[in-house]
Amino acid sequence: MNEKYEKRWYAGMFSTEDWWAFWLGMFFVMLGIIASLTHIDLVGWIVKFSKWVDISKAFKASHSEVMSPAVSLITTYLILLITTTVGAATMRWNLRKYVSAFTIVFWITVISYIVGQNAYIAATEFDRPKYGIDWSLSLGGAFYIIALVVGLIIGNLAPKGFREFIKEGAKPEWFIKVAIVMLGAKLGYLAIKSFGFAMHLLIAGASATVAAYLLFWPLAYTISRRLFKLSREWSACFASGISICGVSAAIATAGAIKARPIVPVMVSVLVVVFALIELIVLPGILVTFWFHEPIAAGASLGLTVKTDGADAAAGAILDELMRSRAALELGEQWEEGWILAAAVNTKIWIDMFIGFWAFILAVIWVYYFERRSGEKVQKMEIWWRFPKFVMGYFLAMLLVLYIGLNMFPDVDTAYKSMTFGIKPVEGALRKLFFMLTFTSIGIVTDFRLLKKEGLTKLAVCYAFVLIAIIIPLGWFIAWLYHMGMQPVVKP
Amino acid sequence: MIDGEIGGETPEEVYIGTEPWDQIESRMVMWTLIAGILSTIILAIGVHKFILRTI
Repeated sequence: MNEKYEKRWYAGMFSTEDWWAFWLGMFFVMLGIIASLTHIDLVGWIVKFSKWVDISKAFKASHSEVMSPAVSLITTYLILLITTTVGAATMRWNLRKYVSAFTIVFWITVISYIVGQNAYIAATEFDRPKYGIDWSLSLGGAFYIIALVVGLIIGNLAPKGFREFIKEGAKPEWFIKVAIVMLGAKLGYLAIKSFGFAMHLLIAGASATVAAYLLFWPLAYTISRRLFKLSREWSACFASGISICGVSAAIATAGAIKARPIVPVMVSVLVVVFALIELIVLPGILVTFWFHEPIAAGASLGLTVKTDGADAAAGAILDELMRSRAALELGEQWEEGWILAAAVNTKIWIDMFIGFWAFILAVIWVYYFERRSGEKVQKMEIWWRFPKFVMGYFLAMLLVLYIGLNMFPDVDTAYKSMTFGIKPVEGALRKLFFMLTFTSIGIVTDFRLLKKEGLTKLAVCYAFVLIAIIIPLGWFIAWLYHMGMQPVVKP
Repeated sequence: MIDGEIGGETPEEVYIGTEPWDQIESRMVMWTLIAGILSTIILAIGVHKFILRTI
């Protein structure tokens, strides 16, 4: 790729995962919007998984009159395969490997989803009469963990050749970014009925994020430099990775300060491994000790879990756990998605600051630390570093909200029409992308790397900063900006 | 693996090294922290006044 092309504003528009998350997410959201406006059923094919005792009821088409469950499942597989393969082709991936690896990832995900939705595992106390059972584990969100564990088993125990092959189709960051664009549509859809609360959540999340990363970064940088004696190059990438947005921030910072390629790669390994540990540990802790502050708990995940995939995944688990507990203990049915939205919202805002922060660091490094005389930092750096799927998230939200509030005679008609078109996309399809993310996170997380690459010193530093600074401060800030906020209760 | 190195194949590739703390770093850290503390306070006041109290 030549220098001139790199510098154009549209660079990477069809060659990066980030842009392709935007395109794919918006494609599905637009299908939903067109279906809502025209009532032409463009989204009824999307397969929807439900709790089951009789396995024939484990999944069906979102609009079940359109096609049979089996046809819906196969159609969903084919459409996802085709659309993601178009992206893979323009990103010049090995298509033969991608198609076969994605196929395996998809079907493993489907099996995990079905197993995890078994009523004996997933049903709450309230659900039991509906399924005719007298006991259940009430493990809402167990399907995510099952997908993750299956992925981890493959990623860590399968023969090396197979592990390397299946990684070609396991793309957690891509899948979750597509899902996050769809989550934007969900927020818009929820906001049609609860506009005020959605806006409050957005503003509180943005405020918490600004406060958090401006405190996280200097503290993480100072500890890594002073206490662990890392160099500036390592410390800057480390501080960005653990404070802002994990892998993307470490890479953006490395680019901004012209760090050696090995630096962000090593930091990224730590970010991914620790995010996975947080994903498993934090939802359980939060639902146990912070049940009375569900939105703050959700928001805290966005500030403390440093990959988009793991954050959204942890948010989804927390959402399920909190709603199950609310149903059980309070007898309240909380609307699905608000806790998850809080988790993703703070993360989205943090993602937006990557470009801005990379620009600031580039200026400091060029003009002070490295004194490259005559070199100037382009303002366009902010745009190039800006995560494009975040644009998709906001665009989807605003489009759905605008259309919902302006194209229908009243709110009830709008909600009904949008339920027809948007619900299958923001619900069933988004969850399927979440599930693909979980399986993929497991597959690409190789715990042996920690030992093999000799990352001990960095790992100790990461664990120390995470436990001593990021998590407690993240919880405090999330609470400070979201205290008392509760999910909308279903009537 | 030599102390102070991680990952990679050669020391050049992986060297963490040590560098003395620079005055510029003190200023960078200090001003970012000050900005962080001030924004935490100002934004918290705004969020409490205009959002949390209205819920």
